[in-house]
Amino acid sequence: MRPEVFVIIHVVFGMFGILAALWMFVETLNSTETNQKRIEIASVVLVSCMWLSYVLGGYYYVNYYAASKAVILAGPFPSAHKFFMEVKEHLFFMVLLLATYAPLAVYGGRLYRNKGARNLVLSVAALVVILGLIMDGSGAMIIMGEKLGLLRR
Amino acid sequence: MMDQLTSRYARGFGISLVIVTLFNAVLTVMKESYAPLIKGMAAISGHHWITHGIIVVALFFILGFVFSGAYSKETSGPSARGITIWTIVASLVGVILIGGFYLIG
Repeated sequence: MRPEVFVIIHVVFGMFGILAALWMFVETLNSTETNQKRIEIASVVLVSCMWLSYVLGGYYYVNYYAASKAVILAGPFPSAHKFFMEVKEHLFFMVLLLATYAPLAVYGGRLYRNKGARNLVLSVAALVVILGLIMDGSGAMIIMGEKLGLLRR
Repeated sequence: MMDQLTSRYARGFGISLVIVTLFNAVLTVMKESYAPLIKGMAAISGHHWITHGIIVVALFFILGFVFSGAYSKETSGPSARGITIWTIVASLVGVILIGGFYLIG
C-alpha cells in the first residue's frame, strides 16, 4: 500500500469525526427522551473516528513524514512544518482527549433532564469541531508547503 | 440535581480532561525548550511524539479512574458547570500556549 493512503484515510476519519461531533452537538441542542440513543451513537462514532485518524495519521507521521519535512523546510514555505505541522501534531492530543471524553459525558445520564450535563456535552462537541477544523486547515497548509517545495526543485 | 453529573466517570474523567489538556501544552513547550527531554522521550519509544501520546493518554486514564473513585458519591466533585467552564478555559490556554510557542519560536 502506498504511504499516502494513510494520510488520505487519516483525513477522511478526521472529517467523519468532526461531522459526528457536529451531529452530537445538534442532537444535544434538541435533546429529548427520544434522541438520547442517537446522542450516544454519535459520541461512539466520534471517538472511533478520532482514534482511527490518530493511529493512521500517526503511523504516516512517524514512518514517512521525514521526507516531506525535508522538502517543506527546503522550500519557500517552511512555516508549513515549523508552525502548522508542529501545532497540528500537538493540538491533536486535545482533540483526542475531548473525543475520548465525549461518550463518558453522554452515557453518564439523561441529558434531556440535566441542563448542566447538556451544556458540557455541547461544549465538548463544539471544541472538537473548532479544533478539528484547525487541524484540517493546518493539514492543507502542510500539503501546500510540500507542493511549493516540490515545485522549486 | 440539575447541575451535577450523575456518572462518577463523567465527573472523574472531566477533571482528568482539564488537567491533561493543560499538561499536554506544558509538556509540548518543555520538550521543545529542553533538548535532553525531547531526546529522552525519543529514546523511550523511538519517537518523541509516540512517547508524548502514550504519556498523555495514560495520564488521562489513570487520573480519570483515580478521580472517579474519589468522587464516587453523586453529590461529590465539581458541578457540570464547573467542568464545562474549566474544559473551555483549559482548551483555550492549550491553544494559546502551543500556538503562541511555535509562533514565537
